[in-house]
Amino acid sequence: MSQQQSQHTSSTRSQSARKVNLWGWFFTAPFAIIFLLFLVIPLVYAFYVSLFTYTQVRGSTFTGLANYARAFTDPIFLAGMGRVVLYTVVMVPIQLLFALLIALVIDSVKNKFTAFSRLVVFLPYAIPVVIGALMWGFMYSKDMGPFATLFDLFGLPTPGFLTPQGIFGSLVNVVTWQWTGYYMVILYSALQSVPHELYESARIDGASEIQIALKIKTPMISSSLVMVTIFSLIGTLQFYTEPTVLKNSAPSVIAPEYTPNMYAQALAFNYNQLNYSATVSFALGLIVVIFSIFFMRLTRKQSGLEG
Amino acid sequence: MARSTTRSSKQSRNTGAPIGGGHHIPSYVLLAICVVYFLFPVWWLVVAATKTNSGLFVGSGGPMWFDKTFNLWENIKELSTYEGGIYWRWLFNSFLYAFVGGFGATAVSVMAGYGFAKFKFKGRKTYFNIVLGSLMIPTTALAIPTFMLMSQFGMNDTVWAVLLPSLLSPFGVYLMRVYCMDSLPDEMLEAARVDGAGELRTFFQVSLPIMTPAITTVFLLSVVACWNNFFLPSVVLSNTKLFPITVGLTQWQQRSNMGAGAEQIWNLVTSGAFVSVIPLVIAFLFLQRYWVGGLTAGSVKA
Amino acid sequence: MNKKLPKMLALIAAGCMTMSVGACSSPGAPSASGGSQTVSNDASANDNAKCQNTVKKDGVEKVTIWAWYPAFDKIVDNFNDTHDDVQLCWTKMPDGMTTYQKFSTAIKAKSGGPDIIQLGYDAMPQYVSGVEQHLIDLKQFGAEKIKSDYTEGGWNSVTLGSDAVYGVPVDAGPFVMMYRKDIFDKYDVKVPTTWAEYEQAGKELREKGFEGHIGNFEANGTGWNLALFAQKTDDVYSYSASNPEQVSINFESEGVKSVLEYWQRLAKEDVVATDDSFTAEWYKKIVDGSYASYVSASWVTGYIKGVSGAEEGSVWQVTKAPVWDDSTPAVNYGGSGIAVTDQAKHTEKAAQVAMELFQDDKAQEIAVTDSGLFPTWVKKLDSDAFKNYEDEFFNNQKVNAVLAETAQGYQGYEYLPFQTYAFDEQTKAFTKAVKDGEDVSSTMTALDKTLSDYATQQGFTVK
Repeated sequence: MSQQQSQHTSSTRSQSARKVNLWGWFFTAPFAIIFLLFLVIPLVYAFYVSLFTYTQVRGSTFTGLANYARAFTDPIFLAGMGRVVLYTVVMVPIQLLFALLIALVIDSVKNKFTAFSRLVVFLPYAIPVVIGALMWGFMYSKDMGPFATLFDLFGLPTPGFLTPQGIFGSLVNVVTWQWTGYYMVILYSALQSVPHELYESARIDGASEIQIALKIKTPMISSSLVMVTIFSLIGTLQFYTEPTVLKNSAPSVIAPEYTPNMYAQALAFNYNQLNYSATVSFALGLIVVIFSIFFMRLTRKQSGLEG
Repeated sequence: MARSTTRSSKQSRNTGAPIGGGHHIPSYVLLAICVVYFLFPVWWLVVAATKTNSGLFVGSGGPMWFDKTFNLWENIKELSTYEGGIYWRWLFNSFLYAFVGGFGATAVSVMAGYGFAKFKFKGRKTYFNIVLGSLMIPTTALAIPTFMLMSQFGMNDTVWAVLLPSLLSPFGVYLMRVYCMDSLPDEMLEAARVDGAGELRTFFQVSLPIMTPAITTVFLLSVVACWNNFFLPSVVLSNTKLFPITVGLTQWQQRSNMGAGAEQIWNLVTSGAFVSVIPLVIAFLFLQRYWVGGLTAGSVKA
Repeated sequence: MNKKLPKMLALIAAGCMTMSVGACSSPGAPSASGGSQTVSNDASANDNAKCQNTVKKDGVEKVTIWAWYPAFDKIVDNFNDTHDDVQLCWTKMPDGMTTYQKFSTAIKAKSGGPDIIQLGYDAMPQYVSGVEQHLIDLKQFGAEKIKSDYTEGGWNSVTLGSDAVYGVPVDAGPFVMMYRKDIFDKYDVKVPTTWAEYEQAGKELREKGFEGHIGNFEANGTGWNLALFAQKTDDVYSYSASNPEQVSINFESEGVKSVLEYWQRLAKEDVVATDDSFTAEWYKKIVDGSYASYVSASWVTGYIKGVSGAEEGSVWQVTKAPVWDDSTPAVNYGGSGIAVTDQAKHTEKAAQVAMELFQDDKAQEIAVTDSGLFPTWVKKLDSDAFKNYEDEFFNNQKVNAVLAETAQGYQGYEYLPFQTYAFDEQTKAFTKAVKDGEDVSSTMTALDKTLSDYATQQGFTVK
C-alpha cells in the first residue's frame, strides 16, 4: 500500500488539525450514514439472522453456526457456487480479452467507422440487463428465434441454446454481449490517456502496430485491466439476472437454485426459509470478498484499487 | 497514488496511424463482425416491437423481418391502455429511481471523494480502506437482508426502499477521490482559503467546477446502475404501481408464461422493451464523450 | 487494509449484535403459534385501503381481497353493486406464485396481508401446517351451511382432510383431451381413448407423414404430472391439516413408475415432444399444429385462445382424457379457492364476504364466460345454460358436457405444506427421467429421499 501520500497541506498550524478533522468528517458523513445503513447493518443483520434456524413445524430457534455447516455441505449451494466459479473462469477472460481487442483496434485506427463501431459495441450497456436477457431468451427459442433459419442456410443443425448442454454457452453469450462494450469503453478511455510520445518513438523504430499494442499499450493500462477484471469477477460471482430471466424460457433447464443468489431468493420467497437464505447470502458475500482479495493480492502491483 | 499522471489525452488525440492503410483490413473485418454481433439483437427487438401477438409466433417475414401487419402503433396504444396504462407509470418510476437515485448517489460520492482526497482527518485511512473493501461485497447478496430489515420498519413497498439503498456507491466515491487527488491542486484550495472563503464556498465555487467531468461520469454510471436495478426492487416491492420498468416487464413476461390466470401479452413485452430502451440509447448517443472523458479518472494511474 | 478490515468488521458486528438482539425477537419467526385462530373485529381498519376497483358506496365497511382471476374486476363490481353494508376492495395479483410470495412476506411482517386471498388448492396446506396457521376456519361462521352447494371434489380441496373449512372452493380443472380434429382427419387416425391407443395413434401420425407430435410431456407440469399419477390412483403427496406435523411422500409406487416409464418410452421414440409448459415455444407449438392433441386441464383452452388465429383452418375439439383401463378415474389439474387470513381486520365480515362472493348467478356467469373458470358451484353446473353452452373456439361443441362428467369424478387431492419446493424437485426428477432418459426407478427413489429429507429437516414426521 502506498503509505506516503504526496499531498501535504502546506500549513501545519495546530489549530487547523481539528478543523480538518471536522470538515473531513463533514464531507464524508453522508456517505458514512448510507454505508452504515445499507451495507454494514444489512450485513450484520444477515449474519445475525443466519444464526437461527426456522422449521415449519417448530418455528425459529437459535442454532449458532449450524446453518453454515449446512450451507457448506449443502449439495445445492455447492453446485450453484461451483457453477458461478465455472462461469467466472470462462466468462471473465472472454469478456476481458474481447474488450481489450476491440479497444486496441479502435484506438489504433481512428476514423468514422471505428467511432461508429465503438458506439455500437457500447450500445448494449444502454439496454437494461433484464431486457437484454429477455431479447436473447426470445432469440434462443428454437422456433421464434432467427438461428434456425441461419443455421439452415449453412446446412447445419440448430444448436439447442436452451437445452442442458447449450445453456452454459447461451448465458456466456448474453453476458458477453451485454458487458463487453462497457469494459471496452473503460479500457479505451485508459488507452486515450497513455502518452502518445511513448509509442511514437517505438513506431519510428519500426515496431508494428501489433507489437505496440501488446508491448506498450497493454502494460500501460494494466491498472484498468485489473479493475475491469475485478468488476467482472464480482459481477459474475453474483450472477442472477440473466439466468432468472432465461429461466422463464427454459424452466426445467435452469433450476430455481442455479446460482447462489437465485438459491437465496428461492429460499426466502418460495420455500419460506429466511434464515437459511440469509446464510446463503452471507456465505456468498464472504466467498466473493475472499476471491477478490485473493485476486488483488495476486495483482498487487497493477491494482488500481489500493488506497 | 504518489505517481501522478501526465495527462495528455487532449494533445495526443488523433495522431494514430494514417487512415485507410491496407494493413487495417483485418481490423475492419473484426469491427464489422462486432457491429453485426452487437446490433442484431437490437434489430430483432425493433422488428419484434412491430408485431402482433400471433405475428411474433408465426409472422410471415420470419423472426428477423417485419410481419405483413405493422402493429407498432397499436402495440403502443395497447401499452397505454393495458391495466390502465401502468406501463408509462413504470417508465416514469424508472426515470424517478434512476435520476433521483443517481443524483443522490453522485452528491454523496462527490462529497465523500472530496473529503477523502482533501482532508487528512483522523481515521481516514481505515475508513477509506473499509470503503475499498466494500467494493468487493456483492450488492445482490445484500438485497434479501435489506428486505428483511426493511420489513422490520415497514419500509418495504415504498419508494424509499428502492431509492435509499441506491445512494450507496463505493465505486463513485473511489472515482471521485482519485479525480480530486489528481486534478485539484491543494495550492488552489489553499489560495481560496487564504482569500477567506469558507470550506463550503471553496467546495462549491472552486472545487466543484473542476470536478465536473468526473461528476458527469459518476452521475451517468449511477443513473445506469439504478436504471438497471432489478434484484432489489423485485425483492422489496410488491405494489405494481411502484415497479420500475425492468421488474414490470419481467412480470409481464412471467405472466405470459404462467399457468392459471395468465394472459398472452408477448407483443406488449417486446414493444414495451423497445420503447423503454429508446430514451437511454438516445442519451448515450449524445453523451458518449462524457463516458470516455470521466472514466479515465478512475482507471489510469500510469 | 486487509489486515484491519476483519478486525473492524468484527467490532461493528459485535456492536450491532447487542443492538439487534435487544431490538427484535427471533427473526424470521412466524407469527402465530400452534393452531390458534386469530379472530379480529375492527370494522374500520380498511377505511383507507387502496383498491384496484372503484368502490361504489362510500362510508361503508370495506373488505380487502387479493386475487388473480381474469376479469375479476367484473365480479368485484357485481358484488359491490349488490351489497350496501360492505364493499370489496381488490388488489390485483399477477399470478399464483407472486400471491403466495407476497402473502408469506406479509405473514413475516405480521401485517400487510389481505382479509381474503385467492389460493390454489395446492398452496393452502403451507398456511395451515406446523406453527404456520394463517387461514381462518370458516366453520365458526357457518361454512357447513354452504357445503352442499359445492361439488365434493371442490369441498374436499378446502377442508385439507380435516374437520375445518379453510376456504371456499371456486374453480376446478377437469383433465381432458383437446385435440385438432382436422389433423386427425387429415391423416385418418382415430382419436385415442386409452393411453395404449394414444401411443399407437402417435406412431401412426408420424408414419403417415405428420411432422409434429401427438402431444407433449411437460416435466415442469407440477399439477399436470400429479393428474397423470392420479389416473393410476396414486396420491404421491399426503397431508392432512388435522395432523399438521405429518406428511407422506410416495414416488416409489408402481403407478408412478409405470406412468413415467410410459412417457419415457414415448419421448425416446419421439412419439411425444418434451417441451416445458407455459413458455413462448410451447404456446407457439400448440397454436401452429405441432401438437395434434393436448391433454390437460380445461382452463388451458383460455390460453390457447389467447394466441390463436395461428394456423388457418384449425378445428379444436374436446374429449375425455385417455385412460389406462376402465377403472381409471376422472382426474383434475389445478383450481383455486378463496380463504380468509389471520390478518383479516374484521374476520366475521370477511368470512361472510368470502362465502357470498361466488354464491351468485351473475358472478358465476362472469366467472365462466369471462374468466374461463370451471365452476365448483353445483347450481351453476346443473344449470341448462351451462350445460348447453356452445364454445365458439371448439366449433360450437357443447364442451361442458364432457367437462362436467370429468369434474364429477374429482374427489379432491392432498398437497404438501411445502408444495413449492416439492414441485421444484419433482420437475428436476421428471426432467431426468423422461427428457434425459435416466432410470425411472432410481430417479424416483432419489426424489422420494430428497423430499423426505426436506420434510424431516422441516420437522415433519414422514409416514
